[in-house]
Amino acid sequence: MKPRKLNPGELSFLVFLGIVSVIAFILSLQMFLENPSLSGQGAFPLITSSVLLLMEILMFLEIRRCPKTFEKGSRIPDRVLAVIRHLFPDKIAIILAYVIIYAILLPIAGFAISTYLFLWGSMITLNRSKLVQSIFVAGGVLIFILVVFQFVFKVVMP
Amino acid sequence: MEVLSHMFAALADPMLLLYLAAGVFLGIYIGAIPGLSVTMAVSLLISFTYAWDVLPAMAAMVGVQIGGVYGGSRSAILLNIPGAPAAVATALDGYPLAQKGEAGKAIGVTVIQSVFGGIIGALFLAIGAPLIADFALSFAPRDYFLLAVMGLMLVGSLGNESAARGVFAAALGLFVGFVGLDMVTGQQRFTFGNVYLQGGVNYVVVMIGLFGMSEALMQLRDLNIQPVKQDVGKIVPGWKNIIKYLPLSLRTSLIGVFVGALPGTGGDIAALISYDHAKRTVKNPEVPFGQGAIEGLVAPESSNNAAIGGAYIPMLTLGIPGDAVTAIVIGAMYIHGLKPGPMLMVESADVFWFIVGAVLIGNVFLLIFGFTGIKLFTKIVEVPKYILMPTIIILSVVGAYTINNSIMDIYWMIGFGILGYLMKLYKIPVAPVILGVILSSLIEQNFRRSVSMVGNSFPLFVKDLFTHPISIVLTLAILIMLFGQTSLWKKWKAKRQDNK
Amino acid sequence: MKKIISFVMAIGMTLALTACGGNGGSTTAAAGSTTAAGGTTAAGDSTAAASATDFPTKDFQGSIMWSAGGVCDTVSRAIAPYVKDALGGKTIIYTNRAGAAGGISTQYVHEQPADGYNLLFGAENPQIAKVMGTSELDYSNFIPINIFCTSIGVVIVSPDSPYQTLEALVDAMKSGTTLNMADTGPGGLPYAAAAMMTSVNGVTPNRITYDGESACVTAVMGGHADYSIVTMGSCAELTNAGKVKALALMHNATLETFPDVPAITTVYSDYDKLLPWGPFYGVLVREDTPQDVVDQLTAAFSEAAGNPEFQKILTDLGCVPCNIHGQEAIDYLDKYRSVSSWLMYDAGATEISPDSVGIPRVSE
Repeated sequence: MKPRKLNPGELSFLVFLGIVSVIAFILSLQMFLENPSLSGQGAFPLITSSVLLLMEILMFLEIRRCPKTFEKGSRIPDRVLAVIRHLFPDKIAIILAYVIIYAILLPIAGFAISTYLFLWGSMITLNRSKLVQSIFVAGGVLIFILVVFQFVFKVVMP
Repeated sequence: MEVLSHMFAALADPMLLLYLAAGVFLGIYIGAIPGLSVTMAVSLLISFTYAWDVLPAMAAMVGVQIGGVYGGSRSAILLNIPGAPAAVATALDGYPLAQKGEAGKAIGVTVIQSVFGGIIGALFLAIGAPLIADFALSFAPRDYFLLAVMGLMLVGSLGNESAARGVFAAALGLFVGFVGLDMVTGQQRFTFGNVYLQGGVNYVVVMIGLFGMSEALMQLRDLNIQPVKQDVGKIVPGWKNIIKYLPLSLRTSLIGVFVGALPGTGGDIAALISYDHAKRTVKNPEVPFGQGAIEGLVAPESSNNAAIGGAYIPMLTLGIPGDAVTAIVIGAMYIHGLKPGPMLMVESADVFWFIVGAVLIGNVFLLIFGFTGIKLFTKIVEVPKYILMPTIIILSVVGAYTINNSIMDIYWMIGFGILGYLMKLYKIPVAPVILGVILSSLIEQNFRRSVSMVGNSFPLFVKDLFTHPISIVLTLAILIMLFGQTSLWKKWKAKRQDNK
Repeated sequence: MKKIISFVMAIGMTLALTACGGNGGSTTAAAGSTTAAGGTTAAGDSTAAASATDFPTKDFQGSIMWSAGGVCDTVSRAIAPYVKDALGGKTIIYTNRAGAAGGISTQYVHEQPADGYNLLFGAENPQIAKVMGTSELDYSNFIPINIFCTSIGVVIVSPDSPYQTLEALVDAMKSGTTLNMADTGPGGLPYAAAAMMTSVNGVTPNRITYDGESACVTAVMGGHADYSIVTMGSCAELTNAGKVKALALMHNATLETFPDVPAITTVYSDYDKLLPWGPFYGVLVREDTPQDVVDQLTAAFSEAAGNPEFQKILTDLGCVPCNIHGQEAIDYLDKYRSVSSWLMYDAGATEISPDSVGIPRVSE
């Protein structure tokens, strides 16, 4: 891997993946030890999670030579802010929030209402100038989806 | 001559032609919409076509299958959301082309290649079905394992920046595939007592989340980037173009037919292996792979359509499904009073040859309909982001839900969407994950079967690899592939270049 | 851009009308359940009759226990056209929910409201779920509407197998040779039938698990497994064509369609006390479904299951139509559960005792 400037938060993400790999490895090891056999249910998970760990180590080795993302001596809160700004530029955070609200709203308000709210909400958030137009476009998209999925294919909507 | 008259019975009866054509047309658009799958459409067709006669029902199903497998490539190219797992490989080079404004060209190539592959598949079905079927039967679990390993080796070439990251992603995908109830022991693996996870994580959920939703999120990062204007001028590739890629198309179609003929593996695996094959054999593509190489479209598209013809081989000669869709068609045959099996060719030869003919003629319709709606579809990419992205998110939600009518699928899809977003942001390749998930079961279960068959002895397992003809060929191929990627080989080749 | 907007608006307007008419998925459900619930007033008969005539008001959701293309799937889908009229013209929308030897589908249907709109199209596997530990639900948590048909297991080998008779197969295993048997995992027919063989003949194979009976048959044909025990339907055609050899039927009589295949009871008479036995396929609803709804469904399905065309499809699939419903079906399921659960336990296929999960032995 050619050395490049790491993105803010990249190191933390790799660490997160590392923790996941370690957990996977421990669980697989437990599973394998219960029934140490090549055709047992723990064998392949053990092999795979070992690969995960190995790759994690290699990934960390690779980024050794990369220039540091943050200046030496920068404070932690500043670093965290930089990461957040990198992760959620512009309006992504809001849209993500909408997605989560939509997911929660879905079983309560049903498909049609939740979807319409999400569509309209996202559209106007993303483009404030087209407020009225969004009402119709959101409606159009919703109706199109409902028609194609519910009628034609008789698929049940949440 | 009777055979030919059965094969072309479709041509004689305009109603049958109509059903076939309608099936192909619908199939294209069903496959193109992420969330609607060909398997789902064909199962619905069964209910729909009860009252019909056998031939129209078969025509419709075959048509939908052909159209659907092709259709998946459309959303793969335009939105980076494979409409079907068979189109995952197509997205790798198709989407970069769309981002350059050449979606029209990409779609044109995929149509031609799909039709080409489909016709090759039909020809093999017509000529060599019983032979190929018997050959497919002799594939032992260890051979399936080797084949899946070959598919996984594609990973090595997908980690653009760092091989370690690519392999990590693939291993992660494999691991996701382990979650659920173990088929052999009946015990729960990695489910943490969660009832939903008992059924495992569905790979379509992973695919829609990792590809579709995460892409929508990525696109939202910079709303100021205008959608690329698509050039819809030169869509139909010229003859020179087709001839140029002919050797590759032929090879990948062959791969498609054989992989499709193996019971239990279908177009998706065929497409992946073919893409890998293309990467290894085309040394100097005009555009590098992963950035819009035409070869990267030729290989998977011809392969996955050829696999349809291939899947019908064991289905029509032995009554054993070659893939998920043919499994459903078998059910439909029973409902219509047919008995799929070796006797089908004898007792209902007319149906057998009709289906062969339908596969052939269906591809002709694909040629015609495949070029329709391109302008409409490419316009979709030009829709402003503030409309398109939320719509894609909703389509992802719907797509995840329709698999099992389970809201949990939606939540998991969103989770994978966020994971995919993070991975893309931090330069960890996403495609190997899906590869791992798709191949997980194939690799693990066949490994366990092969080992179990020799009493859990690893040495005996290895010995098996070298004492059976098919296994020898596959093992050597893998070793060559592995060796070819090491630096030793590259140094040796470089030396040869210098000496020349 | 403008074109797209006007296009979308035009579609939107025209379809808004149709959407109002038909988009009643959630609202009709509300209407449906209130009418059903309204049957328990003092007005008694009339309201009960009112809810009976109102049912069904919407389409049915059918959950199929096994994956697409198999016998269970085909039987479940095949009955739809024959039962449609009796169900007020309503459609059955099918979804395959395979997994956990039936556990996934029983779990799902059990989580739905007991309104008669969620049908479970299942096979025999849940009846040993409790002793196999694959699920906490079995058919005692459901009300059977109809048992369409039963099927019969058959022992198959490759045509060029060194074991051309059942005795040869059993003797080989007894003498210490380990044979590989293709099965479909714990809870499936091959597994249960193998347990039966362990119990009667004292032989245990090395299990190689595949993705379903079709794959088992393929494995046997290709020589990758020494034998398997699958349902008639999975191998009938191949047996006829000589691609697979049937050694014996797990049954106490021969079948007309296969006169040359001996009944296992003629080879080993000890099987007599355990047979007839075998997989069955039927449709059930969740427990606590109102009786009038159950009655309506029962009437509809029993008529459909008796239809000669439907029964022909069943026999083509290698099944034996039986059309069992009502109390007879409940008794059938209970007996099957006892016989099979104790079979598994006695053969050592599981360590969970049927007694401990409330399953008594069948009094012979």
